Amino acid sequence: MSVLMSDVLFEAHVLFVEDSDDGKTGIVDFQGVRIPINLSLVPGIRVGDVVLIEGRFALTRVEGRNEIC
Amino acid sequence: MKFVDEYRNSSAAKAFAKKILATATRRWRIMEICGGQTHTLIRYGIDEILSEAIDPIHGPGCPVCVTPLEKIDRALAIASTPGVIFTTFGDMMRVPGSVTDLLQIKARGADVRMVYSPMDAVKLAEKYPQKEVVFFGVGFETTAPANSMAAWIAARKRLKNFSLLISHVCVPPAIDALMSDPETEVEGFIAPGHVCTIMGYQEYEDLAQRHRVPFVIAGFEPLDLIQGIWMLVQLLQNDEARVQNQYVRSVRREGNLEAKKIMNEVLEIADMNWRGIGMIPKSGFRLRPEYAAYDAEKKFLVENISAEESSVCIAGAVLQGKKKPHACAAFGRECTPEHPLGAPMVSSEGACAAYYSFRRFEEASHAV
Repeated sequence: MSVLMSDVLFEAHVLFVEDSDDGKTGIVDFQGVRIPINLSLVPGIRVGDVVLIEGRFALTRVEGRNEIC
Repeated sequence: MKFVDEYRNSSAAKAFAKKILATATRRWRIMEICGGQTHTLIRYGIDEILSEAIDPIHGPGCPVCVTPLEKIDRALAIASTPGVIFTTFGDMMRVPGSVTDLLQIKARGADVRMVYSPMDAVKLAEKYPQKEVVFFGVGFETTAPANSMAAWIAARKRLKNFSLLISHVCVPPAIDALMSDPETEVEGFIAPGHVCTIMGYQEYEDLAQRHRVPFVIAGFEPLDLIQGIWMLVQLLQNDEARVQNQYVRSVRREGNLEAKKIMNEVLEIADMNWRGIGMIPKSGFRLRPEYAAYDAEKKFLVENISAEESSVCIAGAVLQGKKKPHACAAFGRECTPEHPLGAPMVSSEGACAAYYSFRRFEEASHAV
């Protein structure tokens, strides 16, 4: 998956959260790859949450799975 | 792959397809707004499986595709300026301007860099205070919060050498314009799940009422999309003009309030020129006057650069859902992903690129 696109989003597990100069930041695991992201747009994110990511910003917490799966 | 395979389950998809085909009493003309949804629809052959139940009309939801040509030319002018580090996502690099593209001017020596995030550009501005760092960000309401946050953080850090060249468009005014066109054939919409993740779907409820048309907010995996089509076909069959949310794992009715708050602080609504479509009132965002110092168009005095589109390319009709890509005389001939005439062939989310990747050997006579 190209993460170099303007509009590609993916879901990933949060592994680490911290406060930084750039707001709330963290590390997520996406298919075994650890990716640094900014969590400032989604308050209250904790380790273990799943987030939807675009442009290395978390856009929302993904809660539960659809019943179709 | 976790979070991917579970939404690509073929048994579940076949079950939905069977239900859709059994339920539809006619062929419904539905529009998927987002280019990512178009790509999924074509790549997985969902439109072919459901061809007796739906006639998909591809919408204008590819952010790269609707970025106006003059904005690309302005990007090229800024990127060619000595002392500038020009940053953007990879898919903007090959979008053709009137004469050239970012990759070509990079090859000629301009400092153009692909980044993963607007925050990468903020960090470059901190690292190289003697340079002007510009981030070129395009997109719908989905990408606007991250770019707003970058401007907000740059302002808090008092960075003087960072600026944004943005082209952000909003989906609901485009749907409103499309449904106000007496020639429109759209009877129902698959609305873009990612946009609604940020904005929620209250605006779509208003559109559903005013235009008497149903919406289903759907995700982007094949199973998301086919379930969304199943929900939409049921609404159409029952003549119900309302909004349903398939993408419940990410979308709440009110959207992401924190993201909307930062967008509202940094951006304001503006009239916007959509490439291939034209001006749509109040359909985009621009930086608020308080953030004018971070507006690259003002900083580099490129606001007056204008441009004219290729006369051969029918991207406008494709983006409005009036033509399918391989109805274009240039499709697959003068216009390919390697040598694109129009933006829908550049972006992998563009309808022309999706057809080129998965349908280019079909007869053009199949196209409408």
